[in-house]
Amino acid sequence: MKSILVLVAVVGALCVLPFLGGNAYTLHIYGLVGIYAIVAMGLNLVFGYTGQISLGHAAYFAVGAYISAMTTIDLGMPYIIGLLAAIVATFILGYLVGTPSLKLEGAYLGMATIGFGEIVKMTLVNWEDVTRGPTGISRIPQPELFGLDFNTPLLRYYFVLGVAVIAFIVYWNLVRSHYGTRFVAVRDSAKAASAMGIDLQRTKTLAFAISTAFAGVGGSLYAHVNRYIAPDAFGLGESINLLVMTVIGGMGTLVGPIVGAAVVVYLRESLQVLADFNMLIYGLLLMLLMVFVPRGLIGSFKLFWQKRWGHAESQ
Amino acid sequence: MLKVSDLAKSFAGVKAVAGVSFEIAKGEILSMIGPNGAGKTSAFNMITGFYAPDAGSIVFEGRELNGLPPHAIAKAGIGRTFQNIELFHDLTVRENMRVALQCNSPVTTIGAILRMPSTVRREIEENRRTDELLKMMGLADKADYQSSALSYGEQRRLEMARALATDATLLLLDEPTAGMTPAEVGIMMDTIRKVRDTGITVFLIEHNMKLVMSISDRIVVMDHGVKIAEDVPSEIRKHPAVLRAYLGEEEVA
Ligand SMILES: Nc1ncnc2c1ncn2[C@@H]1O[C@H](COP(=O)(O)OP(=O)(O)OP(=O)(O)O)[C@@H](O)[C@H]1O
Ligand SMILES: [Mg+2]
Repeated sequence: MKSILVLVAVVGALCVLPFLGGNAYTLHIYGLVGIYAIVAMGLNLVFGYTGQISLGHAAYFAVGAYISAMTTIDLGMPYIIGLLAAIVATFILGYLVGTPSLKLEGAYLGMATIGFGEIVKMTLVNWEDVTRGPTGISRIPQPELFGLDFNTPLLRYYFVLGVAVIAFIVYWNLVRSHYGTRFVAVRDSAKAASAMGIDLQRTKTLAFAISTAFAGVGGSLYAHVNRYIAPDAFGLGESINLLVMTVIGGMGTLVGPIVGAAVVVYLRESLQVLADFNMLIYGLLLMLLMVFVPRGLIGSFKLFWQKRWGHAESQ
Repeated sequence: MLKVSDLAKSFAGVKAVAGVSFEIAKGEILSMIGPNGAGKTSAFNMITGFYAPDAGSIVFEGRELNGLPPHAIAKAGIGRTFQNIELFHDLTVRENMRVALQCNSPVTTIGAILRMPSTVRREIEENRRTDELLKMMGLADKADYQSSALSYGEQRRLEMARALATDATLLLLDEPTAGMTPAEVGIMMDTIRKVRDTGITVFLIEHNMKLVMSISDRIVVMDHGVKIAEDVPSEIRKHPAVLRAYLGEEEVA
């Protein structure tokens, strides 16, 4: 009950956020944070909770974006169909790719997921008839639901917020359900998990497919809010960024990915002014964060809180 | 209840288990003893699907288990603990139990995502069952502890509670008193008896002779991968082959 009140309060605050001096640009940035938070939440399910690395999540982000854009443009379907198509396609793709890949562990799993990510990127570049090749797809229609056009930056922000809140509730319910505990069980002790009747392979694959579906949702939003997509944006660098968001916020913590998404998007945007040096500074800042906050922002905060709390209790 | 025949397993030429047969009857406590490296844990691992046997068969309540993965064997009703404790250390005691309680009735994805009333009701029922099992294991007040914060003896008992939560009818315990203080051993002995009295069959690997001799209905003795004796405790005590195998080891009490 308390947590529901917190959720309502936070969502309320996010609703008034645009009126605290937001312009079209800041609204766009807030929207990006929401989009990346959705993807990072999904990645946290498979990487943070289940302990399986994916270095190819940008591929599912891309598939979601392309499927959604092409469904609305080439097939002339309403936006909601594009979004649903993106979810279904990325879930199925995640299941198909996850089934063989998740037999691997650690670095091998990392490499397999990089491999698939590159395959997707190559396909986007080379299958020009369908994907329009390296130039990408532009003039993607803005989101529209049942006749309501989200045609201003403010409306698009609310749209992203709405989807992000739904995604968060789904993610939160999963984490606190048997799925959440089962995912952590697989991460903590695969042996004990299988002795408790858990099919390791199925559980990992399910976590992976759910997480790729989250990436698909993010991709669809990205395509229709940004209104332009191209293969360049979906490479290994982007996959690493997604992973960084999950780690910086605090792997396996509920709100870690949201904090991580905000930090990464903010850093990336504010470093743009440094032009050539931005990647250098960005990398350096990430390294410093990893060194000084190894458990992630939320993870470290929780630890700090527990320590203080424990201390207060013993007094 | 369980019938193991001609079970064999080698590792890089080392015959860990070399053709072992025995049976477990419903409701009994069967112990397996033997010196270090005798092949006891390997036998457990084959019964529970963690090792694929090179040869032999394992029939549990009329069903061949050889070839099934561990999770299927757990669902069939065989619960186990591990020689080196394997808890989900990032989860609380209650959450550890929760993982086990879904063994035979996993919730649906949709039920979880929408957090349907049936999911919530089920959690309440699980909490009740958890409290019941924890009480039996003497962990009633530890439900909300992080499992890694428990004492060694408590961790072992949690592992047992968790194995029982899978609705196992046969419980395999791999050295449940290893590293315990005498007081903790006493508690464990009572606990194992309590478990048996609820109708659960117990198959125990143990080095503590006093416990084995007083608790077991029958004992299987292993040495170098083969069964060298099988009998009631009073006979095992004076069995020549057993005395030989244990010479220079622990004294047979
Ligand atoms: N996974 C494995 N890989 C290689 N060798 C193994 C493996 N498991 C067991 N062995 C070997 O098989 C033999 C029997 O080991 P096992 O663990 O079954 O003995 P044990 O009777 O349980 O001994 P202990 O009382 O020390 O636990 C030993 O020689 C051991 O080294
Ligand atoms: Mg052993």
